[in-house]
Amino acid sequence: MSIVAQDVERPRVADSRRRLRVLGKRFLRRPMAVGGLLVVLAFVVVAIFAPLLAPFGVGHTDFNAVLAKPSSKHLLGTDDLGRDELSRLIWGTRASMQVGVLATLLAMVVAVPIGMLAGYYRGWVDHVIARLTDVLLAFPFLILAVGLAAILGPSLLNVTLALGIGSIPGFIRIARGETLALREADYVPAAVLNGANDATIIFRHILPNMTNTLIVQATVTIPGAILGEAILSFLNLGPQPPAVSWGTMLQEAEPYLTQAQRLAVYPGVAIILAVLAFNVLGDGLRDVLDPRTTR
Amino acid sequence: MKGNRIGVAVGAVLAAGLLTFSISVAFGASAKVSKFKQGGTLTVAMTAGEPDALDPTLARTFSGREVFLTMCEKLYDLNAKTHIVPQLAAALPKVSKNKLSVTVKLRHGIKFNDGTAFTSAAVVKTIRHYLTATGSVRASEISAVKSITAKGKYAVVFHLKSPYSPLTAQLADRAGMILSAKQLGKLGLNFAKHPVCVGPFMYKGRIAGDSITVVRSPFYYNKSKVHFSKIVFKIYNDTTAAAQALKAGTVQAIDGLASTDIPGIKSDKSLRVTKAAGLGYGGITINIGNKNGLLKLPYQNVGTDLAKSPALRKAFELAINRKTLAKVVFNNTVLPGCTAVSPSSSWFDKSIKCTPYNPKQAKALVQKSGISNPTVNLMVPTGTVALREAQFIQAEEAAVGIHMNVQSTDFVTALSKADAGTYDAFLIGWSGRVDPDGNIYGFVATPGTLNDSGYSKPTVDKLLNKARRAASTKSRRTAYHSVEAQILKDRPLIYLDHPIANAGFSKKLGGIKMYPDTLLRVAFAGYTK
Amino acid sequence: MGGFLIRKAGAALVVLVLSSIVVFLGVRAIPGNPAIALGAENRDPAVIAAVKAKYDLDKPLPVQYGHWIWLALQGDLGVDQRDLGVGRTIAQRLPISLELALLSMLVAVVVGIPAGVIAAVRRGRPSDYAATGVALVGLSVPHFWLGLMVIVWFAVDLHWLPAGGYTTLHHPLANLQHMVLPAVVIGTGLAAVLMRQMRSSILDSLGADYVRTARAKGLSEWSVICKHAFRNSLITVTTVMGLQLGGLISGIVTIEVIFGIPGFGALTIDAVNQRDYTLLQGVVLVVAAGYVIVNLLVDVVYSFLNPRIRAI
Repeated sequence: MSIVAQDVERPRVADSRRRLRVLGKRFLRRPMAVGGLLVVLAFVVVAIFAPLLAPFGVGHTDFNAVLAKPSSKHLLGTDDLGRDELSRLIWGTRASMQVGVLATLLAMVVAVPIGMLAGYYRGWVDHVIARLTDVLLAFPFLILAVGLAAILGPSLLNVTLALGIGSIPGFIRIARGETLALREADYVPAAVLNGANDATIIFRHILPNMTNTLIVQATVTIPGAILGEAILSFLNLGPQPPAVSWGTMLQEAEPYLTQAQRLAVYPGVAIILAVLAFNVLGDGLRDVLDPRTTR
Repeated sequence: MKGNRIGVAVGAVLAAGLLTFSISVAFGASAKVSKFKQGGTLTVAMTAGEPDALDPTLARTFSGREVFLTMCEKLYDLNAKTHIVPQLAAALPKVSKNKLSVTVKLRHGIKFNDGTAFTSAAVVKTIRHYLTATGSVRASEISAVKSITAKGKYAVVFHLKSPYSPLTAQLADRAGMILSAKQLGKLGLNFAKHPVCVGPFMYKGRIAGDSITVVRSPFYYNKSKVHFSKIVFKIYNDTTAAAQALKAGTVQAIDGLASTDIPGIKSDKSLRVTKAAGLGYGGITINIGNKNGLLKLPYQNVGTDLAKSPALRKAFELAINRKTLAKVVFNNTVLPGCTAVSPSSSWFDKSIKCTPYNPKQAKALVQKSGISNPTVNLMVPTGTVALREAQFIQAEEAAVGIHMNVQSTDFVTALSKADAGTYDAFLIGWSGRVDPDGNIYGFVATPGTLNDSGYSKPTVDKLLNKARRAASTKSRRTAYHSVEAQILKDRPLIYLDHPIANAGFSKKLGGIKMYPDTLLRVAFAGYTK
Repeated sequence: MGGFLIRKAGAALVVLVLSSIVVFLGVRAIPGNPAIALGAENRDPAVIAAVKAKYDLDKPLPVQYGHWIWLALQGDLGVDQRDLGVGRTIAQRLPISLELALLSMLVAVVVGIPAGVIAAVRRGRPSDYAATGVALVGLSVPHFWLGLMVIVWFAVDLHWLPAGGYTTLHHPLANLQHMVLPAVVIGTGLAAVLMRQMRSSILDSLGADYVRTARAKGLSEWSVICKHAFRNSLITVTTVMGLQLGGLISGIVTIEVIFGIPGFGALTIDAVNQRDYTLLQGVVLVVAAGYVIVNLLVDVVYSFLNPRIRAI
């Protein structure tokens, strides 16, 4: 462990480039992970270029073609209000990816500094933060998110906030644990001897060394948030029409399960694909980034 | 709550003492004993929410009334044509000349479900309990009653504070359910723990949130008409799940179907659907003058695009195609309409002309209104159907140049906001009352207890109060005609439809009925031979 | 050991008190007036005032909280909006959710552990890939979606099992029939997590020194796995099950709603919709307490299995 740490003590540009290249090679040797990355990228592209890709506008209705079967005009058919399913799936990609990524970023931005404070200063700071984290953890993630979403009111932004806040305790624990370990690494006393202050140590020495772990945790949190969005939307706490997400599509499809199963199948498959891709990518990254699994 | 028509479910709660004149369809009527097998269990899916306390003193819910139909008979009952008929009473009440005392004769030889005799003493004890018990919901329904006395063993006399003709109607609902004096003495305010009345079935048990079970009573006076040995009322919060349970055979009857579930039930050869048009309506309430909150006068214009501009309100209504709405959103389980009174009511006014669907004129009006980019925020109670309806309207308004935001808000929050006046427009229904006063007065009078719109017009107030006092039906009709025409012009509410209740059940069953009060009646049903 | 337990229990108690405050305030932070929920179509000012008085809602927050906690400590959680005792309702509904939870865990253990062991032992072979792949998909499927689909396939189309609902344990067979689909749906996700943990933990221990020693002693491969690697991996399983409790509860909430099972989750959602403060407070408090206690138990069990942890 300490050998790896010393490597990064004063990372020179050439070194970190070489390290990246090595990691990249390791990553490319895992076809599953590469596949996951490609699917994730595909979803990201669809999300960004949704307005160009979707054949119909987000709220385009056709009351004469309600619950239409797939055809050349509507490749995946239409829903209960005559809206093109393919277009909604594409627009939904945007909402779902947005929630996944933003909620995770939010959780990281809030939780990592707090976790590092707890791990670095220990003592009463750690105790207070640990108990508060425990309180948050006493409520299961979904219950917490449902409660928050109910308090905030239904909207895409509030779903993001609720899921972001719900993900905070996990990140705090990880940041704290990593900081506790890293602060014992040889280069911290060295830095202190060199006259570095706490901020320098935390941000220059500890933070960069836990990015790997944080990235891996993020690839776990993003699919969790995508699933969470679907559940909140299913419980009527999701984005407001005409905005659409995979979750709202599922929610609207439920009454038509026996008449038009496909309405529930499309968004379900989209969710599975996206979450699966993130999970596979996360597995791959963990294998590549975690020095213990260099086999 | 998903799938339920919000407002309607909670609503019919207070539709006590209804006299209705609506369409009703009944299957397997005139149940002859020979037609049904003796015994068997019926499981009914209840979709209007969980019943509250099974004590007629405290009960408020629609679902609760459905259970009471099997185990708590009343002094009077409604028949299929919603006329009042004696049930535990021997005849219709006799009113004294000064209209201040009402005598009710009781039937002989009837026993409560604990074997005790049904006599005037029990009636007196029950009514006194209704009048005085803490938290009694019945007290306000029979508040005109000053006291009650027994007149021999089989008659009671109600002494009134002032003449009160709706008393008989109240005694045909929960205020007329007579409780076993012995059980009431034993349990008092905890009567719901084990309610005992007169009825074809008696209370067996209840699992909170799941089910209520009643079993055939050995004490009932008309045992030969009762066929099931047990009825289980099972609570479903999701009508879709309930419909699937019906198809899978887990339940044999369901008291309310969502429009989306009806085709699936109808296509199933072993199932059948029955319907009854109710007395309620669905529509949009527009906040015009509710600036300070419900009942807080004076009403002041709230200044939103819709509140400011009557022309825009007209355009908003012109843009909506009620017929397509009924078809696409409700699968024709509503009747299109534009007034507070349902076509199933005898008070329905055929001469009122609805605003026709006319997007062209709507577009022109929007431009003429001088409001650039008119915007409407429509508050919608959470739920699949309401949301579908809102999205339908959103698309239609967009077509004429009105931008509509859908604000899906859970039911309780939405009601709170409507009362506080912190909304622009609200998609909300009303369960309906038999008298038009109950469908109109509270909503548009100054100050009405349900006037979330903050609408106020002296001429309307005058007409409404006149209609309340008027004795003849004809003069009341004229008054309501003028009120309805004025509302149609001012648009504090835009009425869109009148819901039809649908129930589904297995074809193996006979004798199940639904009257216009939309309660499913199963007590005398059975499995056909 | 005693010191460790007391420290852990003390921390749990603090968490519990803080949780009760969070619950109390959180419930009241949800917009919407419970008096209006109760009044529904009869929102006469007099009715609203009476409702507020009945549920203490006209009193200041600290008084309300104190009153609630004081009664709760005596085992009285108050009455809900339907005038039913909250404690009794919880006592009736909790076992239903617990049964569902146990059955789901059973499914997870029966499927997840063998699959994990096999995948680890046959590392890199087709059976490993198949098990790992299925587990990955299992992790990624939203359970409520799977629930919806399973209802359509097995209940509506094939009529094999009931679409939803619940029968009491007095009818064990009918009860089980109602529980199979939901338990399998929830169990799928858990089994996937368990399988992955089991696989990696066995792979780790197969590389450990003591296993090498055991092999060197000439023990057969299967007895090495069973006696050493497997037993060691049970620590991991205990932890994972503890950590998955949150996921389990979340799964139970949505699945109960979908399958119409009158357990704790459905009760919670109803209470939120009705703004039934007393009921919601009681329910969430019990969940939080259960959660804290189970976490405590996991810590304790874990410390028995792995004494080194007590030092930390």
